[in-house]
Amino acid sequence: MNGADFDRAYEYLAAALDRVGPQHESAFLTRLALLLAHDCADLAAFARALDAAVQAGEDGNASP
Amino acid sequence: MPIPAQAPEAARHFDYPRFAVPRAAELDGLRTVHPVLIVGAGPVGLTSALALARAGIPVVVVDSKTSVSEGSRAICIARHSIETLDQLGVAERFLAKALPWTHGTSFYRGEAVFRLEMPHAEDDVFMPMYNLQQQYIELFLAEAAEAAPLVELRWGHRLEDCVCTADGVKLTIESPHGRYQLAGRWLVAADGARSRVRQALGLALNGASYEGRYVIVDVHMRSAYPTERRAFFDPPANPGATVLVHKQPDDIWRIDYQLSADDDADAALADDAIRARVGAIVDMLGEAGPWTLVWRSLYKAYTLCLDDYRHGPVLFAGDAAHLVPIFGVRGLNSGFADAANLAWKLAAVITGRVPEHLLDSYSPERRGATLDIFAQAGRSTRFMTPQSRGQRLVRDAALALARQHDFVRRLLDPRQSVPYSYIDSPLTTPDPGPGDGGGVSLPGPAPGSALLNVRLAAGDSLLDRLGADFSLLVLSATDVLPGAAELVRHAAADGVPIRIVALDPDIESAVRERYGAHVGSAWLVRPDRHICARWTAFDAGAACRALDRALGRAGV
Repeated sequence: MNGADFDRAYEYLAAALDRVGPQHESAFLTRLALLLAHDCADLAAFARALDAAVQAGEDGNASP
Repeated sequence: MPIPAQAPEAARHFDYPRFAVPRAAELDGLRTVHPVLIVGAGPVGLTSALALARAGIPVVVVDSKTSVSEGSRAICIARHSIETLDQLGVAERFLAKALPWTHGTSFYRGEAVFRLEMPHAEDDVFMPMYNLQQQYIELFLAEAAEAAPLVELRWGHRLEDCVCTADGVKLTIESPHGRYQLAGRWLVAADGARSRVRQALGLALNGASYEGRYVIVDVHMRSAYPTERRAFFDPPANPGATVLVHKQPDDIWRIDYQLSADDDADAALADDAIRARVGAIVDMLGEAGPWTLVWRSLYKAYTLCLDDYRHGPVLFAGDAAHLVPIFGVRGLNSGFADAANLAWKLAAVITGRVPEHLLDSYSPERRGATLDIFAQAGRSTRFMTPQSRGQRLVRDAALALARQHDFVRRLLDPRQSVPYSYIDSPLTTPDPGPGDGGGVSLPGPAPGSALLNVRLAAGDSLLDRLGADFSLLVLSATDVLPGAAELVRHAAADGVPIRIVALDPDIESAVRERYGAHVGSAWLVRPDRHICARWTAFDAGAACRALDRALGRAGV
């Protein structure tokens, strides 16, 4: 994905999170992850992304 | 309004000049219509004045104040702006005083997650960014304007009213020697965010405001930390909010810190509250020495602009035309570009035989730049100050991922001010498309974009070869360029001088490399250093057509 599209993806995700509201965020993000796992059609890549997301939350005590 | 921490404290760090208040010749019976009046002797008004004077146009500048502006204002001058100042012959003092920088660091919860590196090549003449207090910017410009024979400065003269007439403007000016009428053919309104000209003409800025307020403070503090931009997201010293830190000359540090939604603005601006917050931030920076508060003010981000920057004989420039968020340092820098843009167009209309509607291109070009800034700075503002829970979640996710993942880092890039491309302007001749024998994507700056300045030899740069007029740059070993005389004659018919600049491709290899150019390549460059058109082989007929177009002859 090119940079400009990635910028847009970031904005789309922010807008979608606001649309579903705080109570439904976790369920929404889980559904989204499953849809993207299917679209990316690469189990190893999906597993790497899962690990990276877990790790980023651990390193910088960055979990909300 | 900026508030001095204590008046003597502010005055201790800058010697505010007192400009003489002249008596207007209009009070003694002068009845003349000045070619150009400028309201506002801030950076944009003074730059407009110097650029017009350089093009041979006499200007009268009025401003109600008798010194330079006080308070914490613009501090970052981008490379393109310093080039504009260099063209006006005033850059030397800026370069001697300002602090150049190329880098920045973003921190998330105390950890460095992003390194900003602004483009800087070996053969670049100027640094990507310079920090300098606006007081100095105004002082250096004002002293240059005082020395310019074609610039008449009327400090202490306040605009009361402005009326557009059939053939120009009539201003009512209040001065200590009395009230008088000032007539001009053209008016540059550079009188700032609360523009009196704008009010008098009943025009309003339109747009949006952003959630989130910042306290902006200048503190005096000795520190050996290098000049760079530091951004702290959710730092221990200001939990949940953002802090920006910049170094300025004279040991002055700019600290911007975001208030939380439930902070009361008045309480937050109280001395004790500021001292507590700034103290925590200074501790976080690892600074142990004493510091004193010099200026403080409250800031909120807006994206506001006029619907049209031209109103008959009036051209609006700088904050009078647009208010943009501070993130990305585009406010003053876009004001300098406004000045460079309007000056050559006014000069071409006044001294040349160029139709007035050339000035209609000012608004689409410069308002286009503003709208681009709104898009860029809006993104920066949402990153610095998330406007909703969704924005905050993705922002924090990006920050958490940035340390490990390169692709996320572009989201953290503040995308500092870069010159806008006028590729969509009616004055610009685009590269030929596939149907016109073109379609090949050429390297180097494209039509519409700003000229890329490069060092040619010690003390010599591409910029130094340009004059105040249009230029044709040609990569040619010989000064005798077939067809150049035809272009010069064609331009002269419009009363618009053009300078032919031949660059030896063997000696000026930097140009060849940065522009990806071949022998015979040519660029037609506007006085504000934007490229009108380019060719892989010079063609006098095409160059004449491109010049006509750049002068608005192809319709605007």
